[in-house]
Amino acid sequence: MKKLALLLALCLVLTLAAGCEEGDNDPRAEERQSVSVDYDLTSYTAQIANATMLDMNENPEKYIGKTFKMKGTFLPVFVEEIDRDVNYIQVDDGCCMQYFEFKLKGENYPPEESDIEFTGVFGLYDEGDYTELIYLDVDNLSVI
Amino acid sequence: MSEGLQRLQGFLEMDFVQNAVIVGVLIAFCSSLLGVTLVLKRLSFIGSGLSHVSFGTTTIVAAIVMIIGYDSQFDNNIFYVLPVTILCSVLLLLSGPNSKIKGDSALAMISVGALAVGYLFMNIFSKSANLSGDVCKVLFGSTAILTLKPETVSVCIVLSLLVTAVFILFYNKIFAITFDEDFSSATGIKSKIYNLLLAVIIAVIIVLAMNLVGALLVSALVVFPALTAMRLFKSFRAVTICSVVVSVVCAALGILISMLPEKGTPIGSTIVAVDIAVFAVFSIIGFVNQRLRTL
Repeated sequence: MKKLALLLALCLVLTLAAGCEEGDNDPRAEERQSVSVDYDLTSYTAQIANATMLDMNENPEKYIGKTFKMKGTFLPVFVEEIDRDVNYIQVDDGCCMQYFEFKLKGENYPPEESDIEFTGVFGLYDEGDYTELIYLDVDNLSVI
Repeated sequence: MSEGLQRLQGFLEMDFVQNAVIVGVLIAFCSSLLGVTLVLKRLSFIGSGLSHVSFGTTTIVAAIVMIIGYDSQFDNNIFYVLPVTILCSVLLLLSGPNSKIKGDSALAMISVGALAVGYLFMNIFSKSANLSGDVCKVLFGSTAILTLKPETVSVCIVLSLLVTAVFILFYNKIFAITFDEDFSSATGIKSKIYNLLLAVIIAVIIVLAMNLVGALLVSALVVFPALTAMRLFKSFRAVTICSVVVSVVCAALGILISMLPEKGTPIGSTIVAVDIAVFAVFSIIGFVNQRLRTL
């Protein structure tokens, strides 16, 4: 029994030692910390990004006022019911495609199907017969 | 590594990740309780068979709902999958020696039949643009545990607590019918009723476990912890307790490890990989311990 306990302790020590390494000073980490983003979907794993975006659609009230960083493809879609273009970002989270409407300040939208990245504030709005429509309020975006 | 840990810390603040860890640990706890019984009764593959039935049921009912006109996704709705899975479990486990199709043949037939029909219905009726992604999600459990609806979380918690309570209350009877069913019947234990109870509990656990590891990997969640515990311990009680500890630790580690890499890994497969690693470690320790005893 004592030998077994010694063996288990040895395994535990080896496991802990394998987990130790010096921390790396990544300048990108410092840069990320300077921009206040509540949900940086560009740095999430595919599973977490997918789950977060599904949760945004299912429980939007939780995310009102929160800042999101997203990367994807710009897709404007003409919606007949409201007679205007709705500007979407198509996000490929590795599992499925998700679409979120965004409203850009100054309305200087890039060409269709451009790869874009932006930081926007989550909100809800009503239009016509549609209520609680999800959108992101974006000050500026960058074309990748 | 430190960046991964920082990212993990952020993920653990999200409520759906917290739900995933809680539900995942509870499911692992329950599945390991019955795993010992299933392994000893040589019913290790019943988990696969019943999970395939659940997969088939999910797709068939979702297709029917779509035909009616109600928009539905191919998700694991516990409320209609559970009764069908319980029924199949009862039919499989309680089929007598005089049945025309014997136990293992019936299991094989139902298992592959349900899987094939399920995939067929998904191909015919799915409106999703990423069908193979949907299939992978259900079969391998990559994101199901992270996208549980609040009512599903509540049902999972209640069912897990019920299964644990039943196991504790009927521990002696389950022990008896596991090791010698005929002797148990001869001593007055109503084996048929306890086998029926076992069939229902197994079905419940399989349906819950599909949310964690997917339909194809359910057997691993049930079987690996029991086999791991048997490398070191011999008594039923010790094996059960060790199996529970191993299962819970592996499930928690698997969920957390899957979120560490930048791209992430599928949760179900990661949990099973951790199970395999722990089984290997326990096998080595058991082998070394045995050799030291004989010296």
